[in-house]
Amino acid sequence: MNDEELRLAYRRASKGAAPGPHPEPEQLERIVNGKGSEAERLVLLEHVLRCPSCGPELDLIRAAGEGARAAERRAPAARWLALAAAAILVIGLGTLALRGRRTVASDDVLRGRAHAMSLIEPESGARLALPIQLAWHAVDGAASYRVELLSTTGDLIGAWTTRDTTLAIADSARVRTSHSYDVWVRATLNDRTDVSSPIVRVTVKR
Amino acid sequence: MSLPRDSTSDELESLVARFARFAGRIAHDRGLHQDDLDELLQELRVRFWRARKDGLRELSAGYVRRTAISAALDIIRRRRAGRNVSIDDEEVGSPVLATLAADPAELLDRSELAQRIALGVETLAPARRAAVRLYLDGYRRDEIAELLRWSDAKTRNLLYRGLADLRAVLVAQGIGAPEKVQ
Repeated sequence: MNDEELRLAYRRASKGAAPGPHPEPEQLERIVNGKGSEAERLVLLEHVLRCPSCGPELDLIRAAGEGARAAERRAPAARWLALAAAAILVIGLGTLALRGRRTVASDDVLRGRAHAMSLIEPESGARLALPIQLAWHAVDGAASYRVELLSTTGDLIGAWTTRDTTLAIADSARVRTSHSYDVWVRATLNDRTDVSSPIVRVTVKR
Repeated sequence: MSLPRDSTSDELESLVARFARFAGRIAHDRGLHQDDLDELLQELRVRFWRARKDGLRELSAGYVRRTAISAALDIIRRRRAGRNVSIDDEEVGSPVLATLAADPAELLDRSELAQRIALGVETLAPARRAAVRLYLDGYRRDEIAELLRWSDAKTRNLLYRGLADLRAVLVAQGIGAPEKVQ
């Protein structure tokens, strides 16, 4: 049996006899936030994955956490202006301060620059032929990059993970000509946090 | 809740719309009910609006995350409090629609196969079992790694070994063909 056949068959097995009591909502949150020991997570997940009510609850918390990434995408220009203003302020204060004293704020600015995530191509609004060629700036400390292709209504069409900073989407079975798509790249850093690029809308031409 | 239209509400609505797009991907992948997502979005609208009204000028990423998770937890608590007879249990546990039209004997075979696979999963070592269970439940490998806080290599290793163990258990029961070793 291949993986897909296993999955289909497995999902037909009825859930209901999950071991142990339902975890408290806060325990589900701890799983999503990666808190607690591995042993604790394994025990909780053993219940959650067999419980018809806890599974969707875990997914709701995951969806909430994922949705919060939207706040990371607020007005990049404004963010850079704020960073630039902070940098100027730090330089100004540094000039006034005694030589040799270091400020914490300057480290913050450097961290922000190092973790910026942006696409080189395609540009937003581009009309492209297949394959869709993507390239993005490398992010310091990135363990991998995840490229996601979405419909304009936000449905996930395809996702690819790579360690490279380029990718060609040539999946003609899922990408149709004369249709528009949203595409973005998410870098997963070594500390397991994510940095996301802005979403770019492209149209695939004939 | 009807909110007055101004630049603040436009900005909040834009944030909620972006939130919906990001959250919608997991909701879509995991088959969450649209009602659940709508309820979460409505909670967020209200909480963001109150925060702005209370003088919070900048809704930072950290604030949005805490608020979103808190809203989800409150929804879960409310549902648990009101759940005397679990309707969800019956819905999730029922067979998929496509099987309803199948031949009864075929249905029985499918059901038995499903139960044997479920029992086979039970025999796996705990870490492999968790990886395999998540995978068979539709989670992607990167999502498994994130939930279990494992590296990609560890996740791949435990998942593949777990699937191989499961297939061996099933083959021993006459289900499927043994894997060819090159």
